[in-house]
Amino acid sequence: MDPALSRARFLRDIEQITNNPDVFAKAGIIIVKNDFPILVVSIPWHQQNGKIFLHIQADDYDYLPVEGWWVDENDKILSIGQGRMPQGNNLNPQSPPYGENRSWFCYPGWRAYHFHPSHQSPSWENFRGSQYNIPSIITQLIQDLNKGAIQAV
Amino acid sequence: MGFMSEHEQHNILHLTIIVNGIPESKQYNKNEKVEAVIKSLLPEGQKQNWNQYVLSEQSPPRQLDSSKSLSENDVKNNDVLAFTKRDGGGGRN
Repeated sequence: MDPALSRARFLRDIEQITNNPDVFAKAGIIIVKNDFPILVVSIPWHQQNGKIFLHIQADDYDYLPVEGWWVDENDKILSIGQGRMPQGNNLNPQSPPYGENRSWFCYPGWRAYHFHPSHQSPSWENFRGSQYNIPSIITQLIQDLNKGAIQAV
Repeated sequence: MGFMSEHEQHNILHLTIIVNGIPESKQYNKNEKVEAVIKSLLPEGQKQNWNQYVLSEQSPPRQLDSSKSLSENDVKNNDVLAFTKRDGGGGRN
């Protein structure tokens, strides 16, 4: 995908946050780094009495969905054994089936979900659009991160 | 817009709800049930699926009780809420 077009699609989404920082701060979403194709935000995780950092990688967005994984405050990939990553509700701390050594989310709107053989139909083309834009999938992640049986691993 | 009585103004909450990633600001009656608010955010043809969705405060995270009103859920004027699926993962769409 043309990087300029991908960047424009990324900025279109992120402007919802940058144009309404107070609103998204009240929703617990704080931008730490905004440098296409990377977005790092902190989001609330009540079980840890605070927050967790989320790295979003938007190469080829939105021809492809974004990638996402948990990082520390310095954008360094978290690993199992530190007790800082959620496990449960389809938030997977172990490496995905694609070989990368990082966590992944089995959720519509995230690349690891749509690349999985079990989720080829309907394809990403049927999801692309407002309901699965970047602020929307972050908001959904907060909902699922903060309910039910989540362990810190 | 018609004249609003003092009693009506007293019952109004100005809320911002993040819907599909986009903040939408609107006035709600504080006695309105959360179930009704959720239905109002869904398009025609989807309202019967309202129980698949939730309204939440996200910082700190707190899911609202859909059987209660906004005021019974302790929602305050100028609060920000998020409208999401109850369960966003695991193959659902």
